[in-house]
Amino acid sequence: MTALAEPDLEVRPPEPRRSRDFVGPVVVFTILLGFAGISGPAGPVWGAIVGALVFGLFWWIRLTRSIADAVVLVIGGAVGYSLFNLALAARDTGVTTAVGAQAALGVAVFGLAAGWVMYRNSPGLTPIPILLSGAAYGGGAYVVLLTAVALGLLDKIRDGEQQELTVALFVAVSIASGVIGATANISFWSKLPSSFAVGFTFIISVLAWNEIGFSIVEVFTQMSRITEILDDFLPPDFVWIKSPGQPPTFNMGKALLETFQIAIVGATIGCTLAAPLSFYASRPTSPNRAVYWLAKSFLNVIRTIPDLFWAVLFATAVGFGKPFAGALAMIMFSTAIMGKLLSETVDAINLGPLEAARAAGATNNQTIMKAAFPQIAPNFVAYALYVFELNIRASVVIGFVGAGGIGRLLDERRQFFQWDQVMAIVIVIFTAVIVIEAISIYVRRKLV
Amino acid sequence: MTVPDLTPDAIHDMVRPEESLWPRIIKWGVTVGIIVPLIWSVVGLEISIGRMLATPGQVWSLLTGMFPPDFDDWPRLMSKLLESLYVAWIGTLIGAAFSFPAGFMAATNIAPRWVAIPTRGILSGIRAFPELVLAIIFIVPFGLGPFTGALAIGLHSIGTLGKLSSEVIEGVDEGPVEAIGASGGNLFMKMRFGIVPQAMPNIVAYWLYRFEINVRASAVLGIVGAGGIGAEIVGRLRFRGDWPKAGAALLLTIGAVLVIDAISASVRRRIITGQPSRTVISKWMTAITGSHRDPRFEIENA
Repeated sequence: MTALAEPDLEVRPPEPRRSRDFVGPVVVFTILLGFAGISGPAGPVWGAIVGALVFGLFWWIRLTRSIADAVVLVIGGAVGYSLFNLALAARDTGVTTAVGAQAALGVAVFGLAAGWVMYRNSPGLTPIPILLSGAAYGGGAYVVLLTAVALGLLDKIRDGEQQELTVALFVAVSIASGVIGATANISFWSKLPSSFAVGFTFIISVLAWNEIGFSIVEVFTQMSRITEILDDFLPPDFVWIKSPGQPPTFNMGKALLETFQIAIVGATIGCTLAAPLSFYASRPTSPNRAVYWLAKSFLNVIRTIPDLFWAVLFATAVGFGKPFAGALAMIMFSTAIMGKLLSETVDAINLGPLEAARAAGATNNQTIMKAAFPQIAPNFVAYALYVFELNIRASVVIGFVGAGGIGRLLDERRQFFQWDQVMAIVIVIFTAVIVIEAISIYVRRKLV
Repeated sequence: MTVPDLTPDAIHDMVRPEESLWPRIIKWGVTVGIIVPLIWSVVGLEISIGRMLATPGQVWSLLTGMFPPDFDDWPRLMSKLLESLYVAWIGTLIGAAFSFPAGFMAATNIAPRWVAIPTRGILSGIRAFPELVLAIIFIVPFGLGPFTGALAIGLHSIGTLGKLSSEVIEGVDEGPVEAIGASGGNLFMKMRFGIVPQAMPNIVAYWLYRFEINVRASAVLGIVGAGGIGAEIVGRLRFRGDWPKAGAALLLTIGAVLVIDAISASVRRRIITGQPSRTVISKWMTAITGSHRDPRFEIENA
């Protein structure tokens, strides 16, 4: 046996850099920024300090050691943060979205400088990351500003008495934006996709949070007066259903039955329609390309329309308040879901039997019936039960837009603010859905 | 060993095994079991031949009424659409944040039975309320507006995502978890290093998938006044009879849903397979940023 080459234990390969190695530099950078901010004034001087600190950060992670880069960062910081402060100082009605955008633009200028340094020192990058870096710094500043407004921190500055807060707040905002931007800069070498994903998620979340006025405080406030709210809902009033002289629409039993009927019609006819469609919308069983694309795009488009929109469309077409509209809506809804589930299953079938059937001279439809359908029949049954279950859930609510079923009753009672009666209907719906789901799960488990 | 006599005459004389009657009985039973309720429903819903024949014409007149759509007040429509997307996003965030611990609590392989069974019950209880019903209930304390919609969607998402996450967690390979336990890891370490690395891709994919569903749900919630584009479509069709504008809102919704589905599907594929997706968008991304390979900064599995 020939001896293997001895590994050279003296010379170790250099350790690859890991993203956690950047944590130390970023933490120190943040602390230094904080100290500089507390002692330093807002404006160009502060910006220059930020620039110098970012250069220090880049030095530490061995990105650049050149004086020219340091100069670029310091000047960029001075210009960028003085624009930032100018925009914020000029405000007279608090921080509006426009003022925030102007301020963020200033920070974005500094971001461009940082991006340029990064680009200059990293072979293999196109110039575009310069812009991305600008966007990261600017977006970071904008998000932090919005967060500060949302938390009610920036409103305080308006009062005039609390002017001493101003500098500290400016500094806090610029620290946060600097940290976000610098982290983004570092991420360009470590994890481009994931840092983008995290940044994107964060920015969208803050925007959305702000835009719809979401407030955790409100949730807790309302939860603390839960007894008052429950007073409206409890006890559930089942009695009105039985009271004599009510118009027939108020009959909950009939409404529930109507819901079931809508679901049965929708699921049965929808699944029947979906079966041929999904064979045509699947490559191995489609007769030709034109039919394939037609069937596939038809299924894709009807899938995008939510159940309630189908209901309102059909109710508009055939008349409001008629359960027939609900049945039509449920047919479309079932076709969409069944078509998607089934065509994906058909895509994955064993092609052998199909080939054999074709070789024996079967037409395309015969091939589907005798070679393809038997393979997916158990799935078809299981999906049909699932679709029926979904139909029950959906047909409970389509009454809201005038398509029949128990939802119509719920909508009526809601409009009269009869919350205890609403509660009774909700309990009935809840029970019906739970029971149907349990039965469906039991049968599916037996079948598959 | 005897060879059976297979001459034609001998085959003719063989007794054919009697076919069992059961498959036929089941087949006909199932057929009747489907047809009878269908007929009962059709009669109950007062669906007549005349009505069915009239439907295509009615749908056609609706379509011609809605198209060409009227995009005159598109800024308002866009802002409503955006509101729907925001509601869906926040709802998904709430769902993801709360369903993650709930998923662990409902998984029988990590949580004790006395925790897992009640958690499952709560999750399926939450799921039984449709978003719209939750929105109606939440309107009482939280008032009309997108905030209510986000809460309703969020709560429903906790139910569905909690169930899906617990199924993913139950499906993980037990080996690493056992190994961590054997080397002295506590419950938290088992979860963090044994389960999360295995389950996370699937769970995140479910979050994205739930976002797709929530976009559709939040588009609808405007019907009860919980924010978003639903009120535009339903109000215009039902109460104002302004069909071309409703058509515009509907088209915008369909377009947005299609785009979001496509993006989300490609991201999910990327997360599940770990392979870069070969979509046009990702090619553009590489073309735009360049592929940076600096040996000083080569990271993880370089």
